[in-house]
Amino acid sequence: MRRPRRWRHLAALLLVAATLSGVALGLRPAAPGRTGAVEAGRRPRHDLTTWHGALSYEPGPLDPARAVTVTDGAVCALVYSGLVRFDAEGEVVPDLATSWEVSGDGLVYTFRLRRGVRFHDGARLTADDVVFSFTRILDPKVGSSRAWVLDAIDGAVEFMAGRASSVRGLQAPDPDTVRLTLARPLAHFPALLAMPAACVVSPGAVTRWGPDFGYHPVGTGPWILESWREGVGMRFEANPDYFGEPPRLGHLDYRFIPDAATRQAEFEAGNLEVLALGEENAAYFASNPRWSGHIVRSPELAVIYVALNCAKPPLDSVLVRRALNHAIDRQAIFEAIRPGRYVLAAGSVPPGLAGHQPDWPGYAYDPSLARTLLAEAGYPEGLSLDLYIRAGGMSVFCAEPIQAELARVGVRVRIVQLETQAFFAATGDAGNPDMGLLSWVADYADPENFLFPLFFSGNPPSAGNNARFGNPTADRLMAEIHREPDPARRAVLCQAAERVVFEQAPWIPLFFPVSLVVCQPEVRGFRVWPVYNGNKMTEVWLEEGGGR
Amino acid sequence: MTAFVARRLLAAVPVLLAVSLATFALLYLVPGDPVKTLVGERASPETIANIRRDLGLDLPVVQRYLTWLGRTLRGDLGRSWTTGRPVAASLAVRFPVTLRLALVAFAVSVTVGLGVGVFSATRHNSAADHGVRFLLLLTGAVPVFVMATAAMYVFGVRLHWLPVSGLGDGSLRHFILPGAVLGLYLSIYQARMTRSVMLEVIRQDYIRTARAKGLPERVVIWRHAFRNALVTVITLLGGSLSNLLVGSVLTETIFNLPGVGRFTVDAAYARDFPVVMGCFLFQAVVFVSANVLVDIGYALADPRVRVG
Repeated sequence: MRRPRRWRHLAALLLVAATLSGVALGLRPAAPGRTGAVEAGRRPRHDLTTWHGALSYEPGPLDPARAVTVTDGAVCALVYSGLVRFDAEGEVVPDLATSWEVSGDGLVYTFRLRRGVRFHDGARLTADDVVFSFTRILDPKVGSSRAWVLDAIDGAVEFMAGRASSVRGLQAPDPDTVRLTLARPLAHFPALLAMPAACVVSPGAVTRWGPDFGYHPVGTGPWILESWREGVGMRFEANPDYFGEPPRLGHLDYRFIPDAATRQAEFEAGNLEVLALGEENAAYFASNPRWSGHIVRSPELAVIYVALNCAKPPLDSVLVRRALNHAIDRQAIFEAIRPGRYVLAAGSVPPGLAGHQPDWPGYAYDPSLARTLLAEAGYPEGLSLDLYIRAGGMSVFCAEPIQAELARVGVRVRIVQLETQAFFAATGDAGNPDMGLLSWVADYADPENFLFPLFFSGNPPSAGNNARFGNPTADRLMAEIHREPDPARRAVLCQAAERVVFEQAPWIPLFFPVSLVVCQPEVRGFRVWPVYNGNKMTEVWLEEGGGR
Repeated sequence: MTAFVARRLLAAVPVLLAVSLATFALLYLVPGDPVKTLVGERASPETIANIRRDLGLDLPVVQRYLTWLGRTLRGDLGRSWTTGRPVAASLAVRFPVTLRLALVAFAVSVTVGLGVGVFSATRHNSAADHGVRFLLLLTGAVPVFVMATAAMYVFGVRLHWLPVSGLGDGSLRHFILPGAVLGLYLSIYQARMTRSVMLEVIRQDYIRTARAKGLPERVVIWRHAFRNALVTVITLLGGSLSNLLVGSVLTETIFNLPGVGRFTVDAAYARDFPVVMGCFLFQAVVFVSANVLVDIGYALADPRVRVG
């Protein structure tokens, strides 16, 4: 009698398990969101009003005070507007401001606001909202890590230290005027105002949502956040009251897809409009006749380089640093690993920026000169160095040929590959690496962005100066660049500073990357914007049939 | 039974404490500073110091653990450092995804694994036995991401039968491909185990007796042999289920399912302390609970085992 009863128990347990499974399988997602809003199935080809995109990671909260990554900034640009923005050439152009004037001493910026602009929640934009938004970034209680973007404003430092209750240089004399007074002249200040941190937020929404404001963002941008499903995706609808050129599409539907192979599969299934190509698939798409005519090629405002630790022997010797530069045939390396996707770098300022020096040869490939320089520096037998690289991506493709080339002149390189956080720890302020393979991406399209953070002696590695570089002449030139309002004279100063810096060879500059993006045949008006938050997705649209 | 469950759950408390301590120690020991990711480039030292203070990173390490423990005991897992979302709310969003994937994968693995195991055992050393076992071995030799990508291309990209990846509206069809791939890999071990246990059982005297008294082969295999084999196999199944329920990182990543596994790994990469701690604790609870359930199932299947 015992046995059958036991069996009934087991059967009952299985039944319960099955029922639970059924319930679980039938469960709707716990997060709010429209069913099918981020549907994975094949896109119905007639739906040409919705853009289907992919983000390689989920952005943080859409709050200008907390936007630090490129994705954060790019998504914030959809929802918010600033006083100014970057256009398709990376130039600073009016956005919420219609115009601005700068005083003769370069200290006072007066912005005239566009009239009749409304936030997504219906509130009318006034100059007070701009003051509120900027004050919020500087407020120590908010704790934004982006306070540096606005800390040139007069009184910002006192306010940030808690010694003042408001920011002296931040004023709204009337509802349509914002006056910003700087503590010191800063010629690229308008470019800083186009950064995500300087987006204007709705004070009402900030008060209402508190710490969750970033998940209920309210701005004046062309797109309104419609739904955000954690881990899945986010959907935007066109803002019917947008003050600028209205979006040509009705909705943006972004899914978070971390794996590159998965993104490629979704693109090939027709579920994504565009796909950024990487090491693993650039050759496949470029050689595939179905796609080769739909690839957009654009130089990026970025530079890939090997930082040489100028503060640590033996790399504190300029002779050793120059020797390393002469030892590497960069042309041969990158022609092999990134054909068509690089521009060789001699310095740090990429093409497309005033101050870029296209005819400057830099250090020529000359292994025998490299050996001579090493001997001259006291290392006739060569030396050993560590090269720190990040796991994944193109790092290892670059690091191994560099290791091989340096071995030929007697420099034994040990490649230390670390996961991102460990890499930052090893190469950052607390670390003391010989060399690090690094990249720098523009926050704003200005050569200053490729000189001051990277080479000013007062900047620690966390600010960009991974070479631990310092040079009085370069410092002086950078101070002049900050003061000089005239673009032509500024470009000359930047070129001079770059030459002074690279005379000292703090880096082995590698290349300026060129991005390749493949588009579905329906995609129109797509381009890669030089600065990541320039694109507000108002100019793209989808159209059946025909070529591009 | 109630006393048994209560005892087992009580015994889990030191396990959970140990897990939280070990996780905390590991997080403390691995290199990497979460603040670096939070602040991005060019933040001033004062800003960084402020953020460290807000996160409690300036406190002595013992105090940091005790603070976390105290808050957790009050039922608050804290908020993610990177997203600002409450950890408990995120787990509530992500566990159903892992649960659904686990159940589909488990169903596939049990059907294939036990089915193939019994099939092979009853056709011991026949061509069919060798053929099926070879196929499973071949499957096991292919890395899961290759199999997953291939399945994605065949059924998603080319045939359009199933979604390529993603959670979509959360319906079953989004779990078929990932569940099948994951389940297939699990079934390899289950099939091998079932086969060998079945072979052992079939050689026993009582099976010969059952056959001798003229029972149909179907009854001999399923009622007499399989049920006795099941007692051993259940242990393995229980282990598989517990492992599935804590999340399958590779499958979740490739098929882009925001489950607990991927959540944990992403947080570990970001050194997102509250999320990593919360995830590990949650997974330990799930693991322990699943094992208690397995023990109950075990007792029900085997009269020699008693609970309570």
